[in-house]
Amino acid sequence: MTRNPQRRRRVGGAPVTVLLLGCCTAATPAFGNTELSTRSLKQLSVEELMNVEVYSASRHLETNQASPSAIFVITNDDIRRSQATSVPELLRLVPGVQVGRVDANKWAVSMRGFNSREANKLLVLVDGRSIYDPLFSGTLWESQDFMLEDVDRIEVIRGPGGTLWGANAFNGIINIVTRDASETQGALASLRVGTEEEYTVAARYGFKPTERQSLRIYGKGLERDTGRSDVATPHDGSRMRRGGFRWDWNDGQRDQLRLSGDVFKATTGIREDPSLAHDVVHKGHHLIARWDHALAADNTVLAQFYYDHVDFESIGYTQARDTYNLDLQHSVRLGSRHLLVWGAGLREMRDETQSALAGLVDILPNHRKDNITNVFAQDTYSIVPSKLNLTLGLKYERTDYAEHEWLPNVRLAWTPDTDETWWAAFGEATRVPSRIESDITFFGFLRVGDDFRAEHVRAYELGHRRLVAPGLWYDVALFYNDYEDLRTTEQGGQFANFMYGNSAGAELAVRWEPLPDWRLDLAYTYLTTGLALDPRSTSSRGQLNYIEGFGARNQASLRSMLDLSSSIQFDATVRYVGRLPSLGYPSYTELDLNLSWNIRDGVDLSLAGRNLLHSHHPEQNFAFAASGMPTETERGVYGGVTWQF
Amino acid sequence: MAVLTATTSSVWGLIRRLTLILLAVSTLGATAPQEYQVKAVFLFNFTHFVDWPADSFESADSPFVIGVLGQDPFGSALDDVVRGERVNGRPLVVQRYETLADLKPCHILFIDRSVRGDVTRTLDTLASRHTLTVTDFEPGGARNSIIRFLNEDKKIRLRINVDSAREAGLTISSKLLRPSQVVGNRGAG
Repeated sequence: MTRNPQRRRRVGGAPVTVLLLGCCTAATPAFGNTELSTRSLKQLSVEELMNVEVYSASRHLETNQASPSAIFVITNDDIRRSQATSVPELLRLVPGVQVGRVDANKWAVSMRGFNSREANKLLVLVDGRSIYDPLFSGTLWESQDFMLEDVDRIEVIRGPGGTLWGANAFNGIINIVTRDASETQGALASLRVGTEEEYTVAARYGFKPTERQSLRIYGKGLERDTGRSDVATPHDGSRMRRGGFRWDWNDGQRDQLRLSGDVFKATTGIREDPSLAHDVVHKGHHLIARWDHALAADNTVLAQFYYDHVDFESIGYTQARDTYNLDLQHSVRLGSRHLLVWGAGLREMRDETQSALAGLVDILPNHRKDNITNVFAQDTYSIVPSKLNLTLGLKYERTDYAEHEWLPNVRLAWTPDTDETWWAAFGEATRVPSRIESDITFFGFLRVGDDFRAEHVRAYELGHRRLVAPGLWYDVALFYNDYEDLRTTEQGGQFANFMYGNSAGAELAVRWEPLPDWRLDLAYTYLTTGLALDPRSTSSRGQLNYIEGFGARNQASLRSMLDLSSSIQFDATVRYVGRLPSLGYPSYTELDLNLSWNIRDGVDLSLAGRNLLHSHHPEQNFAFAASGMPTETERGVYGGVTWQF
Repeated sequence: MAVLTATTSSVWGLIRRLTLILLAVSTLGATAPQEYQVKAVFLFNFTHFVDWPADSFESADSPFVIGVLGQDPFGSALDDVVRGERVNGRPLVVQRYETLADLKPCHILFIDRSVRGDVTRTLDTLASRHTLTVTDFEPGGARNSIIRFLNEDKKIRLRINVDSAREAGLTISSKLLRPSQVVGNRGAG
């Protein structure tokens, strides 16, 4: 790869000149300023033209502008700038996503309601590998960590994922995509030290063994301090170790191969006193192999296999699980108006689950083997080429927990011009019972989940996004979800599907660039949930109120990203989250600040303040009090250095 | 010492930047060019830095054609840029083609992402036809456009595929290659 030697350097006064010319023309409305600045641009040399700064809002639209779904993408640049230390922290600023810190290492992340640490209606994928935990049915964010510098983007798709995504894409999907190894060449080392984020060290080295191959290897370690509790001594400090690689190869013609793998150990809930039971430990490793092959133009196949192993060890129980997954997909353009994508997926999971309170509470059988099979097809039909597209999809899924499920998806997108899209969608999704829900057994004989089946949603969505002016863009989505068969806990402890109801909401994202060097991102989320009980239920209304109150009605954030000079960046973020009635938690407003300085080519210094307005505040609790003790989030400061060479 | 110099220059840069921000905010005007305005100027500049063989023109006075395939993202910017301009004495015209079926011979073709699905077919069709193909996305197929616009840190950079250029029978000046990323078909970029 040829690197541009001037990558980060600003040449002379070209941007300044254009900026000034722009100011002058704006002040003299009699002349069309486009003409004048076009003329001034034509005076510039190629090198100078390459150093002119432009509004970037439209870049955001490149891949998503015409998408018929509520999609929001966090780019690599956004990640770097945010100085975030975890993915949930990044998700705080995405409209439609609820994020609450349960304790210093655990997070509750959900979309469109039902948020708790056990949030089970959201699918999370990393490079096509599901990190949704089938034991809890949810994502254990405390065991997930990434080399954030090498994450290419995080795609956040609200609403049922529909055809192309797997089971449990109920209210949304988070798709984390890491960079191709050819884009992470060279060495990177970073160190961060702070009060709450005690330390993070990360290193990566990328190189090309041959012209067509790229490889990177990385390692990361971190330690986090405990949260705050007035009730008891918090034991929520955590420690993480992780290492892995990614190898990419392409023949420059038809084939691409990828192999990636990772090993980790996360210790969450560290007990300083060894007499107090033991730490909570997550361990695991995985290997992904992927092959992309072009049969012809607009006719491609993809095959991906992965193996994933996790070990979980806590005071309550232990689990070891192996997952084998194969995905096949074929995309082909039929005529000039149809794009067909179809494929199939197979997954086998084998686990061994042991309770520490055997005889009292068990997950029976202790060994279980489960299979998930799916087949899907989706056609995108251009009713009016490049203006009106209709997408029809259908997925069939069979699991050992929920027999046969047929999931239809219909999406319509109207793009009157490249700057504007209107879309509408209808889709269905299911959430299959977790291993715990299905197999929890009390006193060796009382099984409470035998009659519990999958939960269902029908989602109606409407969206509009538009680039209003070069530096002003917005995206608004409205939804109405109709839920059926949601879980209730009946008198006597049995799980049943006796809850139904709906939720509705509005999600707004606005990006405004008053200047190329100053960007403002606004996000606002409105959410309301109403639930009811089937007459057959013996459960109480209180349970419904509790679940309804899991999401704040209003949530908003405003981030300002300012380039003070070509090397100094200053960002400020204000976040507001409304009260959580069922937990009795008040609303809160917090402030985060970032300062970073590109001291010279390849060396960056940074300083970040988190939750600066209060010394501590509560954000989220466990859904079940017995699951653990929440702690409050504390004010934190950290600083770091990143070195690239 | 280097650090100290960097500090001094950053402080000056900071003051200058703050002044500009205040100035710009006070006028509340659009102060930076649009992305496609800059890209339009690039397309015009390519006419100076690329050599088209004589047989790519029907006659001595036939025009030089810049084509846009798919939805036109340039608005009036491209027309503004070429207005009154000539290339080696030839008039410069802009043509727009909605779909691949409408495509006519042209010297530079900007392929908009709205016809992304047809891009491989388009590139295959044009491969040896003396057309400088330009995209601002990764075509993804076996063949690459000759020039790809890259957005890097608010700036627009160029990635030039010299193999594709050679195949099209076009010669690109080193003045354009030097500040650009240069790749071949086999070199990943």
